[in-house]
Amino acid sequence: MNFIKRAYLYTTRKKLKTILLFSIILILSTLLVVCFSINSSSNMANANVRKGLKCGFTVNAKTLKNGLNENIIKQILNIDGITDDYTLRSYTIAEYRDLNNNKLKTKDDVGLKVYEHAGKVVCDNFSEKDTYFTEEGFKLISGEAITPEKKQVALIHEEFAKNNNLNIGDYIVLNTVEGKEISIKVQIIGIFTNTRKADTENYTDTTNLYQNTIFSDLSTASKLNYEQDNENCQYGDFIVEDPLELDNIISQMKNIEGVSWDSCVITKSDSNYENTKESLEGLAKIVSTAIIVIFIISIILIILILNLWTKHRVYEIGVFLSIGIKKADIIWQHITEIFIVAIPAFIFSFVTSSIATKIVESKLISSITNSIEISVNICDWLLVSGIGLIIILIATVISIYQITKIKPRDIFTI
Amino acid sequence: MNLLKRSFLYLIRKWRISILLLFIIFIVSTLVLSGIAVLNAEEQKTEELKEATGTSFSIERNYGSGGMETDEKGNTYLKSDAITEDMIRKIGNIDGISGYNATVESISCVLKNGKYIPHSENDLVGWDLVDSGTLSITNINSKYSTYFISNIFELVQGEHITQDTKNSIIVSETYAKKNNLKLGDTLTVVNDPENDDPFVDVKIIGIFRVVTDAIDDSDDKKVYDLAAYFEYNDYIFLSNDLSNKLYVNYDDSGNGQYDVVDYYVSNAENLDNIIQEVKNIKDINWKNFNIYTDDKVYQNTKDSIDNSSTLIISLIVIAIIVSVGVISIIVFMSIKGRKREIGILLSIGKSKVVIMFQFIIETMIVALISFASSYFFSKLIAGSLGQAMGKIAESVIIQKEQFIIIAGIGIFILLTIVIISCIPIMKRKPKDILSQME
Amino acid sequence: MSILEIKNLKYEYSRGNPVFKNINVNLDEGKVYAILGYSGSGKTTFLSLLGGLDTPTEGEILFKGENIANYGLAKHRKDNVSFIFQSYNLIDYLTPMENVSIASKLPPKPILEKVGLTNEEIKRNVLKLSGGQQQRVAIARALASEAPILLADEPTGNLDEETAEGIMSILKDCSHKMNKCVVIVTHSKDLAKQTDVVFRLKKGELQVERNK
Repeated sequence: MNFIKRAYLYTTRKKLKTILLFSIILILSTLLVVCFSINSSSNMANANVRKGLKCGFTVNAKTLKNGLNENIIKQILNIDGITDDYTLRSYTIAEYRDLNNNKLKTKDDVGLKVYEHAGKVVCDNFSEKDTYFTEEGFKLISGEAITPEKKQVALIHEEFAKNNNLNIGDYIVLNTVEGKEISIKVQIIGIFTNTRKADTENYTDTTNLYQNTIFSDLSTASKLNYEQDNENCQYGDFIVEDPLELDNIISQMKNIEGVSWDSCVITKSDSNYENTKESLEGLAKIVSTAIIVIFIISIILIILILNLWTKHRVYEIGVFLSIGIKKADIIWQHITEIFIVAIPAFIFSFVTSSIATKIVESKLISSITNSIEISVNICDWLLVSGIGLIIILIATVISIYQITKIKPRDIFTI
Repeated sequence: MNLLKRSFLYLIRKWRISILLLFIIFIVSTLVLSGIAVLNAEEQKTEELKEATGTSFSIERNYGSGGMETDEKGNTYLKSDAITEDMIRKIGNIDGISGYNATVESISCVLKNGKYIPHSENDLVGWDLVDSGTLSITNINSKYSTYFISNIFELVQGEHITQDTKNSIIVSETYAKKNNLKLGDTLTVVNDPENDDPFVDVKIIGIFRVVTDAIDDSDDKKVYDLAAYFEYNDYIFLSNDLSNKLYVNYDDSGNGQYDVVDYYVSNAENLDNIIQEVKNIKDINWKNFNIYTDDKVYQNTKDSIDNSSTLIISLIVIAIIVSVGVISIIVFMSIKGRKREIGILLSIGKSKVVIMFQFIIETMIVALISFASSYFFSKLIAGSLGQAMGKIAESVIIQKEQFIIIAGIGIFILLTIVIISCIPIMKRKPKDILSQME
Repeated sequence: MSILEIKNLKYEYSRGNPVFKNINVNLDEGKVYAILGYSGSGKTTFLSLLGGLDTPTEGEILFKGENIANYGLAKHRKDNVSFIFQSYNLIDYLTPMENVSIASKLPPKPILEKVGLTNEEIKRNVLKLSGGQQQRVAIARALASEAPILLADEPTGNLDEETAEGIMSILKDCSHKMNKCVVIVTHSKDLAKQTDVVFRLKKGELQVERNK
């Protein structure tokens, strides 16, 4: 009877023992596969946290002759890791006139007068994302916000509208105050107000007063700034998926040709990440440390269990030795047995760990609004199975070898 | 021979199996205890993370109520109620607020040894009052100043201004270098010497650095406020007591009156409750004040933080469940391996209950030793885990109460497992057990 | 009155498949009984029933007039009977001394000496004793319980002739000198020759083969 037959008989005759060993290997390998799945999900959750921090950078291309053109913007947005959440901005100062070329009334009772009947024109692709609205307390009280498809439009301050008797739908003319005279007709599509007071009314240029500020679109800006019929802009604010990639993305952007990047000012905005970095890394470390500890403990456990397992078979090994079966043959039998049990266990662990991750997902994670998906990665599974088999093999060989070192005679008196 | 003695003899004579079992239970309980320690750490880290999202609310003077008034010099003043120090403190004492700051900004001149010292910009005009002008900001807690919170500035030497700090100033590194200043030096600050404002001596307690790249001064999005007229290097942070000493000639600035106070919340989840509590404070007329909340970052990251935290909890829970499963199988196995002994004991008239008790006692002895040693060992492990995880070493600690609960649950589980493992044997007739073992 | 009265004993492994039926026999103290039979004839089962290791399908076993089922099987095993097995069944983590003392509070040493073990042997690991020595320990354990009935299942089956002889004489002494009822299940006719009464279990019935 060769060792394969013996191994087969042992595993089939000692069903309960086989089932128990199978279960232990299955449970431990499932645990490890699930751990790895959780690790990748947790990395993903961390990445989402980093994404939620909305870190990014601003390109200030004010010094470029024609600003940033649409093609460049498109190329920047094509860089991997840049989100669709971006804003494009341009600024200019313009004199405000009505359609009959009459200068409109601006607030000029406070501040320093440099240009009269003029104000700061803030041009955005999305006016709602502008810092005036997001941070300085501006509020649209009627009409619509500026969006990319709107051209030659304007949002005006409530007070400015009242003083000049302007309404939504009316047209005004914006006229450059410096250099070549360019004018453009824009339609008023919204009226805004400020909910907070500026603290510098007495020091600032009148054009900076909230009441004299007008929001417009990028085509208007391009016309006034560059006298071009496109949407070239001065500033682009981009948000990256992962703040860790920020530097990399910026250097990729600098490889885009056709822009003299050295004349641009590129500013990173990653203070949110800087603030949370330590805690985030701490959390990630907790997961990886926990997994390493679980991994090591599982390995120790399986070694101990296999050791306990073979201890029970001293008698049998003694019998084999006494009838002249070689040590190597006995070791081969045990290796065969353990493989008969372990290989199906590892294969089956793919199913059980998939089920386990689904349970974790549905019972624990799903209560969170934007819950994350956990799934078993085949590579993780192969890794666990591979390492598992090697460890089981080594553990079996060592513990059987220890037993076979004993003289056959002694086996009966242990 | 009583069963206690029998249990002891078994454990001692079968020391290999005992030690193996001891080791396995020890390892599993160490795993569980370290798991609990990790959960403790996780909780704290998650809280830290939520705090780091900088969730805050600010109380602002309502400019809409009360209107404006112009004094004889032509300056306009707000007439509505300003925020008082008493009010600031009352709100700051609410549970869950980690820190707060209120500032008064002004332009002040700085002197050293009685001489005006220049600010950091190079284009000096030669007029002391302009050349030594700085943006002076008084702070209750400078650590919570927006400049430090949003990492525009970083304190590189000395310490921050707190409620108890008096007559102190924090200056920038560049400014200090230019004027040869160091920690502990005494400077003199004056708001407007031409308006007969007092000169007040202050000590440098901290030096900050402007974190480069964080700002683009030339960006037109900059809203024109007072701060915009100064280089960051020419900002000076003053202790709060100075607002009462420097601005005695002005009605609406300092003197215990503030326009805005920022409060930072330790756990962003509680923001709504805290605001509710703030609004419940009596003797504050909320018509005169507005509350603005900022939990944008928290809202953006909340779900992912929760996901991450739940995943860690799942990980530990699964590891614990699996450990229990593995222990169960091992105990089950070891009892099954003792069928022969059970048969013998039955044949000499020991009752099944007595036999079960022997197994229970044996397991309990092993378990207690394992638990006790794993308690001390996991303290060691937790220590090194803590070190591995960075600054949170203190939080990776197992409380004694937690250990007692875990050990209690562990003993209960083992007891159940032993009893369950005995059931198949107990259900059998003694004769079958005897015939099976031969 | 006989110490054990067996009335209408029937045992079946499964319904309608009786091993034996309608066995009626009385066993007395001070006698050695042998039960002969082929393998599978139900000898061991019969012994198990006597010792309260199993319950009969029908019929009753009376110990001193009381049904052992009413007395309690575990209590019966503890107080009234002692087993001796072919494979000795010693607990491997206990010494001979300790193996004896698990069955009784009596000092184990005199009993072990009585069955012929030396002072050194009684402290040795039981697995390091010879078969004969192990069986002596098992008998000592049986004696220590002071039960009036000794039930032995092939007690010399694993032993050489000479050693078996020694074990048999101890068992006979137990019966004749200590007034115990000794029941030996065996397939050895040589061994049966030395007993007082010989039964044969055949086709489910217990026949008296010889009564001295």
